[in-house]
This record gives sequence, structure tokens and C-alpha cells, in this order.
Amino acid sequence: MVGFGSAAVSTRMAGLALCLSSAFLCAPGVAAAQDKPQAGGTLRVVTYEPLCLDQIEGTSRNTQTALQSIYDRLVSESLDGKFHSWLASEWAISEDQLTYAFTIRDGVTFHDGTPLNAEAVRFNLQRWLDVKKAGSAPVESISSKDNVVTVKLRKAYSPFLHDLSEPTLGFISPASIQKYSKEERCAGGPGVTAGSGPFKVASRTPGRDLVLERNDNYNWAPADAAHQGKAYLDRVELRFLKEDSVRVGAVESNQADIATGVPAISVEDIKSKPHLKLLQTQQPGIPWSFWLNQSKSPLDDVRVREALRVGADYAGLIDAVFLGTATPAYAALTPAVALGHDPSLEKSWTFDEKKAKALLDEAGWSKTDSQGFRVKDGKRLTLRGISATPWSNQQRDLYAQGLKAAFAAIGVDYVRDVIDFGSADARFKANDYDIVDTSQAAGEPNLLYGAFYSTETWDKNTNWGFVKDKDLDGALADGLATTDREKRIAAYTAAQKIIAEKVYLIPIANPTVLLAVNKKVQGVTFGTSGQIGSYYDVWLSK
Amino acid sequence: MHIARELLIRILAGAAVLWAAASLAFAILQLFPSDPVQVIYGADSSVTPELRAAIRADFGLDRPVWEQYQHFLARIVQGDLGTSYQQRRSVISIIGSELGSTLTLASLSVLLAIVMACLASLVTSGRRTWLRKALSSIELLSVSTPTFWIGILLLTFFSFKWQLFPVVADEGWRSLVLPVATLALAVFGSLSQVMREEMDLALEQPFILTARTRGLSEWAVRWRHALGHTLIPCITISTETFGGLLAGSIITEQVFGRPGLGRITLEAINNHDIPVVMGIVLLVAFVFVTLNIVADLLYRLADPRLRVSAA
Repeated sequence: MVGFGSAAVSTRMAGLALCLSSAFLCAPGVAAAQDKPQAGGTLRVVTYEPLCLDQIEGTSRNTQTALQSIYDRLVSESLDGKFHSWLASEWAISEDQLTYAFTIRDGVTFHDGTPLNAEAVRFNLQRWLDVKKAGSAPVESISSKDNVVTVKLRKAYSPFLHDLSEPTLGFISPASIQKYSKEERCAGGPGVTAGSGPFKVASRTPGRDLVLERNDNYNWAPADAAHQGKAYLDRVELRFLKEDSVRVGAVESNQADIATGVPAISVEDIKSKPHLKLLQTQQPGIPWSFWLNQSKSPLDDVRVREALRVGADYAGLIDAVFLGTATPAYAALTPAVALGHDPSLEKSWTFDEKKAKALLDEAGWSKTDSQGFRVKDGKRLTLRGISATPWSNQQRDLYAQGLKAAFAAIGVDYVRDVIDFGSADARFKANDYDIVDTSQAAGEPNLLYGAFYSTETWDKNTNWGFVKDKDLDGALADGLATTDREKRIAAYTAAQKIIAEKVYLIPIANPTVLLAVNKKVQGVTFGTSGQIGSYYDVWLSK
Repeated sequence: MHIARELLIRILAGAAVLWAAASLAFAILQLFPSDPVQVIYGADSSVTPELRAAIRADFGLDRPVWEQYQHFLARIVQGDLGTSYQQRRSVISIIGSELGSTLTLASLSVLLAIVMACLASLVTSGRRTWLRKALSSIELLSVSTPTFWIGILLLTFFSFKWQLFPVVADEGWRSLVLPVATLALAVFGSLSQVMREEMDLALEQPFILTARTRGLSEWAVRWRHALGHTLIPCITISTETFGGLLAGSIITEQVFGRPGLGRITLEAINNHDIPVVMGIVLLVAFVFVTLNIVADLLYRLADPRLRVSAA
């Protein structure tokens, strides 16, 4: 057994590490470590609404983001991809990578007063297995004895700790699950929603707000938090406003302290307000990219794929459209994925219209029709792209229009439909598309497995390109088989190189997550999926 | 007797409309290409084939369409509208918890719009004054401006700039002012145009001349005699608008972040949350059927001639 002790990082060090790893976070002039955090006050956040307060029942990114201060997890993952003790004071992974033993920390209680012990953890994990089939983790069994929870896997699965650190796996009081119906738990409310986190639910009005108040018993913060003990804030008021411009207006007029989901067009406006600061971080995950469908003509030909990659000035368009809120992407993992991003791919291709045209000629698309589009065997070189409504936004729509013009210049007819998710699912099923454009958010390189492993096609995962590559499968399997950090980095670097070489994906933009924050708010962090972090370390300067 | 029979016929016809609406909605949703399983599980996540099968069985989606339809109708008759795919709550409880907020917003807005429109037509009909011109322009502007834009403008000035009314904090009536004003302005335009037209016509009628010859003041002529003639179109438009607002205040609720039926309608449609969409279709059909019956009764109150012919 390989053991991991609880990493006792001093709070000052943790804060400093955060500053260094994401320079964006530490804008000059913002109060830094020398200011002593002050307790008290109410934080007002305007953000999106969670659907169901029991995250195992209903889930969405919004749900997880809003609820991460209410529920605690087994382990905590910092932005550098390292794990820290939380409810598990220590853990051990067996040599064959199949058995995980977590020692549960003493003295933790849920908001309803019941103890959070090994049995409660086992109950929650079992529920995750029963209701959600444990996501994509190959969990075989879960058992608890004394203060140890043991999870057995059917096969090695390196992202397991990451999965356990995700907000979805926050633990709910088993007593509350037995006492309240599914419906009551989803609606939530004080008393009903019982986690063990630094904040508990004070009230919920669906469609309007969720108010959290401090849990004064809290004394089990993750080891990588900036402080220990109870949270600084008295209350957090999450107010749900769907309109981007209204959220921005609310922080600008001082009706709120933090706005999430700030659109690119508001960036200059926010920067011009003396009482506001703009926090931004690069989204960890797969960049906004084109998944290229290689199961059929024309994208089954690597020359056509390469022509698409060099046939448009992707980098130039990004500056024009994203207004500084995205950077050109080259690797299949964004630079924010500390564990795995391959920086050697930066600028590994450049805009070369001549080369693109030559490649298309070579691939047999040398004739053109009356409208100037290339044809082969009487068929026009049309690429049908799809994106789902939640995957797109104003900037991406605009960018795609720019690409359409650029592709037309090399004789490629690019059509893009933005459709609802259900319809997109139907198009996947019918294999009725050439390109899918989206981005994926998670600070875990195994995302590539779901997006490119040969068996992970649309019906169970996101290999929309029908990529079937033995070497790539091998690299992705290697990354999955070991929890050794260096070995994993090597495996995912190899995978990204294959993806780039064979043009399985055209990475376009590394998205940025933007928050508009009042300058009196200190200690705001970002989570491993690029979402705003827990409100535990946040405080208000007077 | 007549009224009772007529009412009974109307109620039966209403039931038929409800059944037709339910069946049509069911048929249309069957034609949707989407797979509800993905919706139930959440678009963020991938679903394994085993999980797909389990969810299908859970929601009865593995049964033949005909059987699903029968089951669906049987449930509706029993007052059960099913369970939301997304929120995992019963549709009845979702609608119930959102209805109050929408009712408040819709009734206050329609009421305010009626008061404004009545005042506007009382003051300006039959006259060619600058006031009439000004009001006409406002009406035209309100009819042709999208509600969304009215809302954003009101927010920008009254909330963000002058900070008179909050959009974030819940301060009782003060939080209601802007959304109500937004919707009322949108309704006011068309209502006021139609009412003034009616009053213009009424003011040219012989009975107005008679009233004037009796020495009634101009205000009394308008208030007591002409205004009554505008009530029929006013009832028609207001009841229809009110019905529309119940599910149609989507934009206003979205802009102001208010709970309500519009918000859940939008969410349900976006997420293909079919049981909720169905529930709302039925509710709206029900509301329109009821409002039509209510409007017919109100016509009798407003216009004595209808009472005579019905008796």
C-alpha cells in the first residue's frame, strides 16, 4: 500500500501558491496576504440557479457550483491537480490500484446534528453507485468498518480521487434522506437540506434566491483551504438572475457583490468601475474545439482535416471576437489542466491558405461549382456543424460566422446549426453531422478518454468524431491505469500529440471564466472546473 | 334556466378543448427527436446504456406509445400531471408554487394597464389636443417595443442608475414596481388604442347628444355614458391578455429574476422537460377556457342588451 498523509500546508503558503499558479487572480492593488481576514457580513452573489438541492437526484453545473459550500467531500483537489485531506484525514491506494481505503476524520457532524462517520460516507457513496452508477467510475463495492471506508474498483481508474473531490459528491445526512421524500430534498430548505459544509441553508425561494448562513460548528475545512475553523461570512445570499446584463448591472449599481457568468462585452465596462475588480481564470478542460467526424467523407481524409486546421486564421479571429476573454488553443487540454496540458504544441500550426488549398486539391476536391465551392464526384464540399444551445454563446456564434467566411475562401461550405440538446442527441444517433463544436470543463485529463477512446461514442460519451486509433487508445488506457502523477502526465502528453498529429480535433479557444467582484470582497477562488470556488475563505474588508 | 344550460354547454365544450389540447401536445411531443433520458440525467453528463435503460423503465418510457397515452390521460383525469424530469418534483407542486407569483404580477399589470387606458381614453378621446398626440405616441411606442427592452430600460434607469427600485433584494412592493410597470406598459398600448377608438365612436352617438342637452358636464358624459361602451373590447382584450400573461410573462420574469410560470415554462421547453411542458399546456388551456366563460358573464354585466337577448 502506498500511503498519503494529510498534507499540512501552512495557510500562508497555500494562498501564495494560488497566486503564483494563476497570475490572473492576484491583480495589483487587491488586498493580499498582509491584510487580516475579518469575520462577519453578508455576501450578495448574483448567479445561476441550481435545479435540485439534492445533487445525486438532479445535477447540473449550476447545482454543483451553488451547493459546494453546503456539502463537504472526502478529498479536496487544488488547481495544481494535487489532492488534500478533507473528510478523509488520510487514504491509501493498493499497489494494483483497485482498492482505496479512506480514514474518516473524527468529530464531524451534519447540519441536522447527526454524525458524519464512515457509515454515513459509505451510505452516500452507495447511493451514488445505485442512482448514478458512480458516473464513469468502475466501482465494484463499498464497505465501512470502524472509521475506514473501503472502495473496491473493477479495474484501475486514476481519476477516482478527482471524481470524489467534485462538488457532486458532497455528502448528505443519511437521516435526512430517510426522513424526507425525493421531492422535499430537491426543493430543499432549512432543516431539510443537511450537509456538513461551512454554510447551511437558511431559506430557499425557487426562481428567486437561496440564502446560506454560517455553520458555527464547522471545524473540518480541507487541508488546502486558506484558513481553518468556521467561515468568515455570516451569510451568503445567492440571487438568481438569468440575464447577463442584469447581473452585471446589479454589481455595477452595488446591489450585489459578485456576479458570475460575466459576458465578454461587459469586460471594459466593469474595468472602468472603480469599486469593481474583474477576476478571471482559464477554464480547465478541453478548449472550445471542433470534433471532426471521421466515420465518413469528407473528414475521414486527414488531408481535409489538416486543410481545415490551416485554412483559417483562428488566432486572429479570437482577438477580434473574444475581446481578450479567450486565448488561441493548440492542445486538446487547456493550459489550466496542470496535470497533462502539453505546452510543446503551442503554435504548432499557423494560418496557410495556400497549403490548405493544395491539400484539398490533393484530396480530390479540385473542381469548383458555380458558387465557388469545391466539388468531388458531383458532391459539394459541405461540412455540417452542430452545437447545442447550452454549448454556444454570443462570441462562439460570431466566431463561427467568421470561420464560415474563411472556409468559403478556400472553397469549403461550412454550415452550423445551434440546436437544443435533445435534437443534437438525435443528430448524433443518425450520424448526421461532420463537426461538433463545444468545450468541456473539468480539471482532469481523463476527459480525453471520454472524448477520444474508440468505444466512447455518442451513445455513452463524447467521442463524437468516432475516433478509432490504437495508439491513442493505448495512451489513454495508460493514463487511466496509474495514479502516478509523472506517468499520467507522460500518457496524456502522448495522447495530445497523437490528437494533434492526426487532426482528430481542432482546438480553437481556451475559454476564460469571468467574475465581476466588488473590491471589498477578498479571498475569492476558482474551483477545478473553472467555477467560482467555495465561499468558505471569502471575507469582506470594511 | 337558459343561463344554466348555456353554462353547462360551455363547460362541456371546455372539457373537450382541454382533451384536444392534451392530446395534441402529447402527439407533438412524440414527434420530438429528443431522447428524454438525456434530459432526465442532465446534459452535462454522459449516460451509460444500462443507466439509459433503467431511467426508461423508471419513467415508463419503455412502453408502447398508445399505452403511454392512455396512462397519461388516466393520470390527468385523476389530477396527476406527472413528475418533472429535471426537478424530480410533481408538476402540480411546481405549478402550484409558481402560480402565486405569476398571478400577482399578471393581475396587477392588467389592472394598472386598464386604469391607465381608461384614464387615457377619458381624457383624450374626441379631442385633438397635444395630450392626445403625446399619448398616442406612447401607445405606439409601447406596442412596438419588445417587452424585454422595456424591462432592461426601466432597470437601467430606475434600478441601476437612480437606485429607486431594487432588482436583487426582496423589498416587498418595491420589488414589484418595475416588473409590473414593464408588463403594464406593454399591455397599455393596444388596450388604450382600442378603447379610445370605441369612445370616439360612442361620443358621436345620438344618446350622447341627448345627455349633453340635459346639461351634463363633459366629464359626466364621458364617465357615465361613453366609458360603458368601451367596456366590451376592454373585457375582451384584458381577459385574453391576462390569460396570455399567465404563461407569457416569460421575458419579464427572466429579466427581473422573478419566480413564476413563465420562467419554468422557458426552462421546461429548453430542457425538454416534457411533463412540465404538458402541465403548462393544460393549465393555459384551462385558463383560457375559464376566462372565456368569465368574459361572457362579464359582457352581460357590461351590456344590458345581452341580458335581454339571453333571457
